Amino acid sequence: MVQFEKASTPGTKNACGSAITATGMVYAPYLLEGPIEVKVTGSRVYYILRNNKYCMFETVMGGYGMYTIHRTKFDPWHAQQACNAGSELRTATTITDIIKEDDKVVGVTTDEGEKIFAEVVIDAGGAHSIVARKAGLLGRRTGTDNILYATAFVELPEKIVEERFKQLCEWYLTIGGSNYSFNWIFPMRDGVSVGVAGGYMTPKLNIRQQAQEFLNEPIIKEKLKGGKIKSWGIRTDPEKLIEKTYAPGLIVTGHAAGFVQPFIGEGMSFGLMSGRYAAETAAEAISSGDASEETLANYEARWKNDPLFKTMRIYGQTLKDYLLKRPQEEIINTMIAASHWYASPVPFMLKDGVKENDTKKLEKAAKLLIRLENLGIPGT
Amino acid sequence: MEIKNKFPLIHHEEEPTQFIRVIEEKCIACGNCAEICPQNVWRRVGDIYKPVNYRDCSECGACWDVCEAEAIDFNDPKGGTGVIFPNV
Repeated sequence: MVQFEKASTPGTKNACGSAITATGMVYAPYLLEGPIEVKVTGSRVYYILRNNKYCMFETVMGGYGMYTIHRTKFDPWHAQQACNAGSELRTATTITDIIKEDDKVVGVTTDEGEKIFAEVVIDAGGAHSIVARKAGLLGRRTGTDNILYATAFVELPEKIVEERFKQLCEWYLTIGGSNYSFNWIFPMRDGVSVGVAGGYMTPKLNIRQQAQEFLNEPIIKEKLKGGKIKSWGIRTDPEKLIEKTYAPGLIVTGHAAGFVQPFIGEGMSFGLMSGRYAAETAAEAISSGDASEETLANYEARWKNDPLFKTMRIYGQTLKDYLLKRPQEEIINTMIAASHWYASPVPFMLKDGVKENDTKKLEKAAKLLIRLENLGIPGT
Repeated sequence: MEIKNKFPLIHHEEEPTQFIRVIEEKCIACGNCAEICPQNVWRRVGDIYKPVNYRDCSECGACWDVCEAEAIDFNDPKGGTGVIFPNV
């Protein structure tokens, strides 16, 4: 196995929310051994009103709902786990094309023109993956299929982070501002990750203005007082799954396939899910010597039948449909209800992972979500 | 911090190669690319829009997503070059 990484160090090109939810740990519990920054025990949701006023409610759960990470530390560790298992890692290498023989993907071409042949190619090339595009599986995503967001890392002393944020993630909803979506601050050991989830992909979207308005809010100035912004990153979150996530010799995972549910804060978790199922399917294909379309279709069958993914997808879609149809004031009220999710018992229930072939815990979590919906909580 | 025409503190490993190309005969000069680009990479040059400022590009790909004429050939920069987020 060979891993290809565009940057010289894994993770340095990966601007993101910098947090893995408990859901992600269900799919990859070994990540709990990785370099985690802060184990998040609950949330604060702020509603920024006019005239420098705001309201906030804080919910603390009985376990950990999210784990914040520095991608620049976590991704090298993660890549090393694969190396420890026998993989090779090639950094500073961009994939520029796929190699096809008789309509089957049999390898990739690097930016140095080197041809690498493989029994199975797993594409984890991100929202605008060259591999998926060259294979004809990925097209443009625009309008309400894609979110543009910005993140920043703000350096702060560990003691200040503990005093101001404890182990809580913070969500910010602005009433009357130009930002129709949400912002966040997540605690790290050496600072905080700040996010501005700008909004849907229309040319009128002005993410710079939204970020500036957020930084100008008096409460945010107070939260970040004494801090130093070290870097900004800008990325897209593709919400729409591609129609087909496999082809002969090829499996498409993560952002490239569209495994993102922004409204319920799930990006890395379903990327991890798709990676796990891709690995399982590829292993079967290699051991049987059959990487045909029929064999790799098992990958799609696996994620389509995953009970947690199915439930979360319904949940995320319901919320999205609701948000797009209602006026802003009503949306804020819904978000108040929906934010219960982040402190709900569901991630806690799943935090220890699920044993193979044991779906009881997931079914229980799914039933709990349905119960919450019946109570009118997440935008039903 | 003031965010004016672009986000500050966008870091690069090495200056990227020209990884975005306009297919000139397809460009209808609608300006969607320039309007959404958070980093002001795009400018009108004659009858079309072109990426002129790679140094500030964050590689988000929004220009490719909003180009209805499909006139943008958006690729990844060469390995080891382009944007990095050293503190994320």
